[in-house]
Amino acid sequence: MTFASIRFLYCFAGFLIIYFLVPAKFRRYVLLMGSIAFLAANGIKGAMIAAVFVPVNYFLARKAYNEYDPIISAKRSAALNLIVLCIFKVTGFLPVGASFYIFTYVAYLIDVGRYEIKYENNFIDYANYALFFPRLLMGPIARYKDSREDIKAPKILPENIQYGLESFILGFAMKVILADRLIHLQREVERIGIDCVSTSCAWLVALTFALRLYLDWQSYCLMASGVAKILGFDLPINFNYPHMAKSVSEFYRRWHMTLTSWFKDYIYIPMGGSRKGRIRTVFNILFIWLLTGLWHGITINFILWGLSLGIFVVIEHLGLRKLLDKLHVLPHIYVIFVITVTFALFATEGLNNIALYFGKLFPVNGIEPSMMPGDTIIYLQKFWPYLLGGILCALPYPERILHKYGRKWYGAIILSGVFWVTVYILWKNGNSPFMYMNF
Amino acid sequence: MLKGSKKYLKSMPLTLTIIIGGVLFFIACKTDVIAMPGGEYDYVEEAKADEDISVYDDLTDDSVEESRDEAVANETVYFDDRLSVDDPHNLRGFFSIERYIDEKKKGYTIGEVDEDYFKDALFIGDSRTDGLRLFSPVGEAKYFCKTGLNIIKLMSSDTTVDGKTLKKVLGENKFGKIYIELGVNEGDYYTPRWLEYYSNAVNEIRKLQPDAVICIQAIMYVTEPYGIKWKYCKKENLDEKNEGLKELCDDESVFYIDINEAVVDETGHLNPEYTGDGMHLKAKYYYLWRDYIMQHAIIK
Repeated sequence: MTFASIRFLYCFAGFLIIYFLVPAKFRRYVLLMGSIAFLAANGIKGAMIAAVFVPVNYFLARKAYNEYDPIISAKRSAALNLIVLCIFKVTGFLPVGASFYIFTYVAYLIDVGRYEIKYENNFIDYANYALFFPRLLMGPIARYKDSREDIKAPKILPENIQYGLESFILGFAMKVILADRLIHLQREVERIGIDCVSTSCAWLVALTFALRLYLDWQSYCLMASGVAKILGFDLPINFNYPHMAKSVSEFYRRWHMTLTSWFKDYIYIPMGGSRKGRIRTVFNILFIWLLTGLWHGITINFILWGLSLGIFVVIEHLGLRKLLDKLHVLPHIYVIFVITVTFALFATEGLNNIALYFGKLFPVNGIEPSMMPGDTIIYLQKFWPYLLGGILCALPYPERILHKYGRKWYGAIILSGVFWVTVYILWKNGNSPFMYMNF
Repeated sequence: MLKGSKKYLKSMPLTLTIIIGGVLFFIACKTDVIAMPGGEYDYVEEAKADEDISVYDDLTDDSVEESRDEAVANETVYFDDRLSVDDPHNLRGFFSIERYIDEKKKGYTIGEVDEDYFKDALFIGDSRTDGLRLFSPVGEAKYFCKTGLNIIKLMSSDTTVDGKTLKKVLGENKFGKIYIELGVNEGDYYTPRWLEYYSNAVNEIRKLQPDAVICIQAIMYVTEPYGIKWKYCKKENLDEKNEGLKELCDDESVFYIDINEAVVDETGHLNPEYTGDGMHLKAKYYYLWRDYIMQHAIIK
């Protein structure tokens, strides 16, 4: 059950009625039950895993805090969580969202071990942090110190409900109207075979995939933050318009920000970061990016994706970034090019398929004609409204306009219309899952 | 509970407009102003619930409910494995007795032909046949194919290609041979019931094109990983249906063509090299299917 599903909409509506009607002191129990129900609706094995992880980590954090050397104890507990995650990934028995919530538990344990926070004594409050359903399946990875205040006293205010609905509707429309339509371009070309289309069509597919990945995930984050806001919680921002970046490093500082900061705070900085000389810095960067690739999947394409990005980040760190900062248009073209090419690795599995795809993108052995003449034009004619809409949504302006005019009556009527049209489209066409739920 | 509703509604107009919009949406659906989308068609549950076996079902325009005894009495019989092979009523569902005797006298062989052979051919199928049409068209054959087409809805008036139902296409043309390749989309459908639909559809086609040779193509397999991921079309399901399709053919005017021989690997699944998504042939490999059809044509 994802946010962009009819089932979620009516279940959430029912949940909200109960959540708002119960006295404030019982709301934490209602929230916990709602989170458990949401988790179970996405796979009973996820609920069973959580039933073990949540109390175990609760007690491990309490134990670590009271140890003589809390950080050692916390690191052991964190390592245990990560070993279990690795076993899940290798065996394929990976509950939906495990990559995200296990990282959340690790962050909590390490922060307790470092005495940055005190462990949460109230089990219900801890469980609400650990299982908070808006961010359970696809993040963002929230730190306890940023969530504690809301868990103790959610800010249920009319302006938050309004803001939350605005964000939710934008994300909902982005997912159903844009992302779920753009997937068909990729599927149609996959069906024909990427090696059977023209080079320009292969580039169109690559660009569309990169755009769709962003739209898919950003739409989820908007819906998640919207749902959380309605419930009185603030979630950390996960995307800050990464396509406005002028370097790959900056792109990934704006993309999946909570994962990037997790790796920085819990792996990169403890390894020395950039404070132990140039060679060590290069190693640290490449290592972090290798881990980032492995987090997405233990297959060759994700490893290549991570390492290739690591190489670009290293090159920028060694001097390219200073040059990029001085230029205006070229850095954006460079970023779009690198991101598109590296995300092409995301879309393919196996070395053979990677070779085929890249052989089509970079036809060093000569350009082969397409088996469908005029394929690029055909697909552009079919998908241009969704591509244009997707590009617009990658800019900051739609969200700013939405929040500026959403609370005016005409804005509310338009948004409401968008919401119900999207519901109808979803009802008619069905929903496709979010891409990052696979991780 | 939130107090001061008037004040709250003023500061969150979206809540009110969504509620009003929802009421309007509901009214519009109930009054058919908006066409209500159909629910997911649960083929398996529907088939299990429906224990009746009819000659025709409600999907055809002139559906006729006929009991088994009435069908035998009217000599409109169908495949019944309880009857012996020599029983004249065991006609495999396609002919009247007189027609059966006529057809028995005809002789056919299977061999290689050129593209001219397919001038009066019709190919019926789903997205895979559409791929055949686009990338390796078989001579000047006509096609009735589209993504998602299945045997259950094939004869329905709701199923159209380029605005025409199959009955209309069959009524407006005279075909010498009709090729059918359907089944992967309903891979997990209850097989006996699915074969009933298939048999009824062929019977309908037979009525409209009495002189055409009908070639039932095997349901093309998918790759092994695809079948693991999408269990409805795993090889075991398709094998069961293909075995049933073989039984529907009499090798006199209804033939079975095992197109999988052209495209499978050593494991018996669709060769991964030939496909981009695990189910459809890549554009440059449809010629394997086309060539197989041309090498296994029914020659009168």
